[in-house]
Amino acid sequence: MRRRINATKWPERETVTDASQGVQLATTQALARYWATGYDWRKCEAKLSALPNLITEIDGLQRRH
Amino acid sequence: MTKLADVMEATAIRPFQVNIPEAELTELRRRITATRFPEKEPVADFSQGVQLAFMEELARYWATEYDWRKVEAKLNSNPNFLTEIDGLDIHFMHIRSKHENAMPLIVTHGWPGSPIEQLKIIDPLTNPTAHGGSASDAFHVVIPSMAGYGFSGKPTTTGWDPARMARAWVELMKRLGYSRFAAQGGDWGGFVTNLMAQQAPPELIGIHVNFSGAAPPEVSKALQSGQPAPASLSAEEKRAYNQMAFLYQHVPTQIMMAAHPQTLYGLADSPVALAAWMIDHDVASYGHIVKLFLKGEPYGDLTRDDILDNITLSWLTNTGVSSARLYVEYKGAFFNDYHISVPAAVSVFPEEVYQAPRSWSERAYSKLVHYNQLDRGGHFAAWEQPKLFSEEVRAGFRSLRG
Repeated sequence: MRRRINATKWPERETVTDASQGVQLATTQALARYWATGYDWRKCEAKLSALPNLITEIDGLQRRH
Repeated sequence: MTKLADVMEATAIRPFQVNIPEAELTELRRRITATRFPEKEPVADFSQGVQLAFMEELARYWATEYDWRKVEAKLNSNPNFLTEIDGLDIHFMHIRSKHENAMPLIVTHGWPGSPIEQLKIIDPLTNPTAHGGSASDAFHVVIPSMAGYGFSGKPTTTGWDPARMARAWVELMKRLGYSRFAAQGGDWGGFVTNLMAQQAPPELIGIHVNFSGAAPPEVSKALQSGQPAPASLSAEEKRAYNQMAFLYQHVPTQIMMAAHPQTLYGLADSPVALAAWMIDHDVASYGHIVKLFLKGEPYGDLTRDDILDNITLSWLTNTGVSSARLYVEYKGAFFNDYHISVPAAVSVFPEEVYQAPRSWSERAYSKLVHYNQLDRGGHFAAWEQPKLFSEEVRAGFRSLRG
């Protein structure tokens, strides 16, 4: 995942100075930089796993890897 | 440099050749091969978008068999140029006919398109005697890439809408020394061409469109408010109305492009995301493209390579987002009558997203010099049916030659 984030090919900056054309380039690049370098999924995983998680099949839906 | 020299440099017409570094093609193949796909759609049709089995086959062919260098050579076999207009570099091909009295013609592509869509009509239009036409049918052909498309520059500020493109095309034709010329277009190219006709510059002889703006104001109004077809419509008009009403409900990618094109980061980053986005255009062309890739069924003159040429060009120029911005730029209505009084020719292809009736076309274009409903061909008419399309362009402008 980090490899893919770092290898992102970007479009040009939006032609406006606000979010009217969608998520702005500078915002997305800042998010990507933090995601690839500062972010730690394991912290979230630990929080999830600190709670009892279970799986059961309902109406035919199975989790597939 | 003096100011005059700056101006002269900007308006210069610079020869251009396409020469993509090999590393970029290697990287493209690497990215296709590394694609992480979603699950298969839970339906057996196109109702949830471009289907997985088709995309997997397209990706396989693209990464292993497709050869960009073939279309690059075709592009370079024509004279390509760049020139700066209204602050933006515009790429175009300019192919002069050997016939001196040829009519200058500017042909505009649409989305998801590029001048690649017009490669097959260049020879029939410039060299008609080799394609069953006569010397008096010849055109000098100019094929620009729209702003934000292909090798043209990408706008960094708003304002490059179809009307501005139309004004830029007039400047381009004048810069090439054409004081009188005709214009042709389909899809967004049809909007550019219609808007040019509405602007009615004195240089414009007439237009030919294969995507006309023809809906009368009362019909346009009823459509936009989602009403059923007005009772006064003929059967043919009612059919067109229902086709347009269907489109208002079935343009998911276009709605996104008209709203938040910048959020389409995936188009710049993933070749497969870009390909799926570009192929999600209309039901008829999608059906053909799927059968072409999965079953080898013919789609007019279109091959798998043609489809991938256009997508690969968009990938290599990173124009997925910049081309999508045209939808956010356009503020007008979509099928409306432009009240055009310059001479106009309309060709209606049966698999186009709607068939403009003659009755509406006669109202929309007060000097309708040609109207024809063809028996085959669709939204990408110049690309799918180049012979038929070229015959239509010749027939459309025949009465306007001096």
